[in-house]
Amino acid sequence: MELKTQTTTRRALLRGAASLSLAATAGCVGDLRNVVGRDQSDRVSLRVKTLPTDSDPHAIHVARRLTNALEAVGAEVELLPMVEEELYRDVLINHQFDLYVAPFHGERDPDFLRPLFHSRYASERGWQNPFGYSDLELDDLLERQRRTAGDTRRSIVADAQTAVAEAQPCTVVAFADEILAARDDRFAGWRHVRPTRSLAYLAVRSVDGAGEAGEADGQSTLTALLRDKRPTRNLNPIAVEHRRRGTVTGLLYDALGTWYGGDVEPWLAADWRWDVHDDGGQHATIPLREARWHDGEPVTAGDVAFTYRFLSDTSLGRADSPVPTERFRGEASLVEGVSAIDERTVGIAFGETTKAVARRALTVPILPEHVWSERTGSASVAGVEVDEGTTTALVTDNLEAVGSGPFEVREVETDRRVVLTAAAEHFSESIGGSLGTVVGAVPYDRLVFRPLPSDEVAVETLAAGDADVVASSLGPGAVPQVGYADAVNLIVKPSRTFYHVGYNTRRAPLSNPRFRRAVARLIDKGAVVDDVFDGYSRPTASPVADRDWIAPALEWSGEDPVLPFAGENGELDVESARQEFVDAGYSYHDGGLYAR
Amino acid sequence: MIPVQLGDVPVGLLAVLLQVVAICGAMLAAAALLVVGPRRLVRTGREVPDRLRAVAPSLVLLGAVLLVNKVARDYGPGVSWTIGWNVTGIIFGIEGTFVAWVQSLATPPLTAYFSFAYVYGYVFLLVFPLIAYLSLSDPDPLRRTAVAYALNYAIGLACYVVFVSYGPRNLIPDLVDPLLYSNYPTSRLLTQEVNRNTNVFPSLHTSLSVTVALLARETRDRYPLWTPIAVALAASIVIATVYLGIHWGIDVLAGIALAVGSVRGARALVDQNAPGERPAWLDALVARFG
Repeated sequence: MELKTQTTTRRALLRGAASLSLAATAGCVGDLRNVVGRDQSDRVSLRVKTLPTDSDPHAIHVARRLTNALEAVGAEVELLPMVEEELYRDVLINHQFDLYVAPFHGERDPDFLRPLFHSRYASERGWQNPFGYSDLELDDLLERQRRTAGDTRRSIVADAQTAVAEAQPCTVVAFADEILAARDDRFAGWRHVRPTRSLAYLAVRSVDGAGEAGEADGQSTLTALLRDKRPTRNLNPIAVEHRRRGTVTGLLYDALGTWYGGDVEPWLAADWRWDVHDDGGQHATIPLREARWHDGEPVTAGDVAFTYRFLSDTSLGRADSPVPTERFRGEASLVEGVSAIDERTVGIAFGETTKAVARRALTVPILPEHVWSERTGSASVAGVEVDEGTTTALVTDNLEAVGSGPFEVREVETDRRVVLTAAAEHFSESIGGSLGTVVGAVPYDRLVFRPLPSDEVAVETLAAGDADVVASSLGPGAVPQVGYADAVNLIVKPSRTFYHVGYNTRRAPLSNPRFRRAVARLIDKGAVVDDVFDGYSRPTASPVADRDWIAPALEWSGEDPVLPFAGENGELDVESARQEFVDAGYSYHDGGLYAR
Repeated sequence: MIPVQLGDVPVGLLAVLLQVVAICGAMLAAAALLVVGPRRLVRTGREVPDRLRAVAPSLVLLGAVLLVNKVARDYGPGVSWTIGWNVTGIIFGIEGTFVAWVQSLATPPLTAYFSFAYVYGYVFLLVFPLIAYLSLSDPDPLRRTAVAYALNYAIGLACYVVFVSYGPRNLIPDLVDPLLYSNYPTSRLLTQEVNRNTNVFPSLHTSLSVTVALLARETRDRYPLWTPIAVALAASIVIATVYLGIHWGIDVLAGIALAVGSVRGARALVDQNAPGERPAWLDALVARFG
């Protein structure tokens, strides 16, 4: 044993000496440096982060197809499933990722593209430019669409979509349909307002002759099932890693207005008056309805003014640089100034922004100043300050939420349930207007949200009559099961939620748009829609869902109009896919993809 | 029709629990009559307090570990995501599509059998040795069992904190079916009460089953009938963890290693006959817990 070691060492020494003398005698120390001084070429090695099957029915499937294709073209790939809050913490807060696959909840007004792709948000946390993408021309388009209207805006929005589709800071795959289920024996009306929206819980009607009987304590309960435990651990409306669509927190907090029937309708605002000031700035004067926080304090114009200031800097000037909120950032960024005109009237200045865009800002949750102004300090763990850029407000679990919404928190049991009760005398009982036609007095006393571990269990619970509705979208696998269950109705609605592959453009090789384009061509969106979503989705090349706004050049026409799949019928043409990478300046050695 | 809350247990879970108690209770009763025998059971009934006293320290150790385990289940995942190492991709990189190959042999009767073994067989396999060994006048087998269980849980828990890993059904759902959960959805309510989906490396189902089988082999002269039952059932459960798409093959290997280690450790800790063969710190531990 020892002998062997000795010989190898000696041989290595000899070899070293030989090469040294060779180099020296040849007089080519310069050449040696030329050769050895070069870095080894880099094998392309990527990690793909996504949600596991238990958290999301689609993301892992899309990610699997992507990683398989990346491996086929010679990249080293590792696929990492992560639970929601951890994935979003890595991707949205710490920007620790190469690629990720996740859903994004798009919005009706295309102004949602601005925070998503504008370079000024690249360093911020939350769903604002997690890709770290920057393109001055795109920035300019995103700013101009905010100031224009009509066909001008339409064409600017189309140009912005095209710029995104060409440069691929993310690859948009498909809009997923929402697959929901509800019983119809106790409450009706789920079809009108879908149960993923907070508004639905105010819009349902009690079915005559059902309900009250059999309630043990004379309290009637509506039970909604979630596929997500996070609301039982955190009810902070501005903590991005804990919210999906904010269905639960949306019931606890009121916004000035809420989307209904294609427009933002007054909610906490009794009304609003828009005018354009002499300097060209858009301005809204908003009288508030009479409302109280759940702790009994009145909701004032001061709270509203506070909320907008707070959302743009949750440290309220205490930190060296502003610490903006992680959710509602795009909405809050539209507001230039806000003032309390009197106790119950607010004035909001939007600067050079059209009314159509500015109304988005009215949909953020209004927070009580007397609660959140205490949360502006730097976050600390066991008394140790962790990070200047993180305020207590962003990390508080807020399980004892004090809102002014139609429901208040009664009880939270970790991982088991969140129990809400209807708040006394909320204005939604007699709201009037077009919302008044759907919203009325809450026809039950308690609203219970229960997280369940799988779609199958959720549907079974519903079928057994132990719950009334599912409040988060199910996977397509649940559809036949819902069909078999008695008294359970299937509700399928198209949505603006798109699954996408996000690239961290801060990191090579994903910083290279040619590389990203080559990756985008590895995904057969049509096949994904057929096989992964079982047809319950629409393939897309643009993050904009609405027909009114989609760029005509990006309309789906059987294949991706910009970056068609490098293959046919779901089968990747490896040779042509590899050629894409070669054309982008990458090379192959022994079948492996190298950055040079 | 609101969910009736019985104590803290939601109605769906309660039904599953009652079913497990009923079926495993029947299996335990039958096995006790068959393996232990009525005469020995009656005598044990009289001597239970004395025998429990004799093994009390081991049982207390097991109880303490289970208690820590229960608390850690709530806080472990958070700690684990902070300091842990996500090895899901590495495991898949090493073993590839082994689980999918196992599942390619699936038939409905096999699925029913392995699901039964995984849920009911497992509970039965873990509880029965406690009854059987309590019926022996020699307290050592019961001590070893309790200590071996405790070691399994303690080491398993430590691994769960260090390694974050999802099972095959969560990583490669395109290749692996969640056979247990698609055929018996409500079993999910039970498994989520006792475990998290990121705790798959090592497989505690495997390690505890193999532990029972190894201990059964040691006591084959006293319970000759139990040894083949335990070995067959343990083998079924080990296969089931992979067959049902819950664990990776590597989790199973790690589970077997953990079982062998735990049984050896338990023997060293409990075996009073050979105090000279163990290190001093073990002697001290034995003096305290043995």
